Amino acid sequence: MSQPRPRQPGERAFTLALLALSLFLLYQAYTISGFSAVSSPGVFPMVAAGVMVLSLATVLVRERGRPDPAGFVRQVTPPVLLGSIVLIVGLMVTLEPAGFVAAAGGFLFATILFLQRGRPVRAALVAAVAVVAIYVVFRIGFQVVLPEAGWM
Amino acid sequence: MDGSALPYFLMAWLDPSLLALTALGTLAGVYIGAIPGLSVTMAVSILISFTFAWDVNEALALMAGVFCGGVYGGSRTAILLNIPGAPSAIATALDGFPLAQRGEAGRAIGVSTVVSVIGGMMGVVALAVAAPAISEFALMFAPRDYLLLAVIGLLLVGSLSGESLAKGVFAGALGVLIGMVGMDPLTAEQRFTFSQVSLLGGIPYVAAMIGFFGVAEALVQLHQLDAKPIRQKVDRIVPSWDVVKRYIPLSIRSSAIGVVIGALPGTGGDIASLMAYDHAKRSVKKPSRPFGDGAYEGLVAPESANNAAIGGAYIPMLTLGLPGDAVTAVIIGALFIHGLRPGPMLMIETPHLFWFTVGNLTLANLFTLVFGLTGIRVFAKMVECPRAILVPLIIVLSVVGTYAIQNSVIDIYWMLAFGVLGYFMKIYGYQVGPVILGVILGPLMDVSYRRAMLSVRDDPSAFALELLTHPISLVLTLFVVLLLARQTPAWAAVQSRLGRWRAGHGTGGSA
Repeated sequence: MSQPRPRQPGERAFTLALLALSLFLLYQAYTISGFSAVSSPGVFPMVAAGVMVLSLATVLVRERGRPDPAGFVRQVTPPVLLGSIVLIVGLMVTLEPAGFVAAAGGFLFATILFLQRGRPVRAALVAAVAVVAIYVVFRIGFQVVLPEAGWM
Repeated sequence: MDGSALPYFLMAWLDPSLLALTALGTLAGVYIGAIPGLSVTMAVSILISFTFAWDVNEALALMAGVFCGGVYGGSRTAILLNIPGAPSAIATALDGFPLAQRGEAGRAIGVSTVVSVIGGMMGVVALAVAAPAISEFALMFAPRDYLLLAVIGLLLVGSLSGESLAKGVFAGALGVLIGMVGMDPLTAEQRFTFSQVSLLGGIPYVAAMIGFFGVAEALVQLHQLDAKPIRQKVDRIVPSWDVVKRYIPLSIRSSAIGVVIGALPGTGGDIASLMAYDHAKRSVKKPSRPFGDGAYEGLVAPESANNAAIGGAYIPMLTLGLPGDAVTAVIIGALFIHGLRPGPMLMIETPHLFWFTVGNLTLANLFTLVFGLTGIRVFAKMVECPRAILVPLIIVLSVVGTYAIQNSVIDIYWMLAFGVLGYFMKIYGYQVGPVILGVILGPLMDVSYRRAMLSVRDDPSAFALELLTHPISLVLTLFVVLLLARQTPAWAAVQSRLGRWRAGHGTGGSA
């Protein structure tokens, strides 16, 4: 009913990276209790990691001979994505020292400005309204603890 | 329903704050479901963190409203913009959008609202009737049966909801492994903690849920920053009784499909709606128009089924502690946070919670009818919210929601890591739904498996024998084998041979 998904750049590399992670986790699962007993704490993690390895191997076998198209940066990790992730990290880092109002306000302003490529007045207005709305609804309405700056 | 159940059923109806929260949840749900980029699973995940300090009834009232309203709301944008607001509205767009193109958007929305409520109500009736019986039956289940049910759930969701079983199974197993991190509940041995104290308590599953459903989806939305919504003229939306009457039989049949698919562990409204659409295509001999060109039948079937699947999905959640779909997996997480253990004992220890849920879902369906048939003009403005504003808002809510659980920044790092992983998984065709099911089902499977093994003194052959000699276990084992066999080349060969035999038999018979 739905169209098959077109193959994406870097698909095989992603599967291989997941496979490497799964093999590492399989080894880690083995170190929990080895094969000491069939009901030991490590058995189920080993089964789960083993299933991960087998399923990824199946994916690799089924998709062999299907080349990945070029254009990883353009299609999978475009600058807009990387820029947004950097801004999210900025929000995480500043959340506790600067407090919710300043950190979230700054993040919203910067991200909206970045994503809509300009129009700073609109970005500032939306950021201000959103921060006030979230603060009123969640801090006052829902009684959620939001981080507050030490100097406030 | 006995006499003691009625007061619990009416609790949300008579308490003004619960009534208001259900109404608010449903209204918010309609918009959340309708706005592409916001999903019910995302909203319920974020709501857990904001409501964990509340009374459990209030939290559940809000979530039930969001769930019902959200599943319905997805149909709005499917009809108006050809963008399903939620995965369960994919089938709705197939005939809904052609209807809007013919200038019948208002009527299509009206019909979809009414049949959604019919489906939702049938789901609630099924829940009220079936759950007490299943719960009593579930008391006979041994740990191995829970293990088998959880395996069935993961296999079903893996095989039905994605492009390949292998990728679905990988996602489920990854979730299981995430659920294993921390101290083993039976022996207190450390698993995947890498000697980090912060990992002893495990990875906070709400952070994982918000990461996979909130941040990952927001990052995917960055690819559609410049998508422009198409405006539709919407006229009168309340349908006439004659129109509704015509579609009631199909709506009831589709609702039955929805309830059954919803009640299977792991599968929810998205699969139910596609199967109901398929059923309508096969069973309706004279549709109002050809399917795909704006047949009302193609709208009625998926919309009835996806709402009926809500009540269905609550059945395994409340009776067995197994999530019926991704949203109920998240709601199970909410119940855990409130100190409740969903499963057969929940119905015995806290029967009020069950009847409260039934009453609450009924109420949420009525509110869906009210909000579905009103406020269309405001709605048309809201769904045009540009993604450049929507995406940062989702991220702020995700960050604040994750922080609110334990006031810990480390949880936000987990959330972002899962968000980025979820982004790549979505891009490369891996479903993230099975991951969350795995996180919830993993610890249950682990403990069930080990209890079952310990009960036969670690003897694998005795364990295997128990799978075959106990009637319940045997049925479930056969189901697991059937699901696995369906994926093998031998199954396809048998099917094609059977098809040829049938064709030959049919020709022979008519000759």
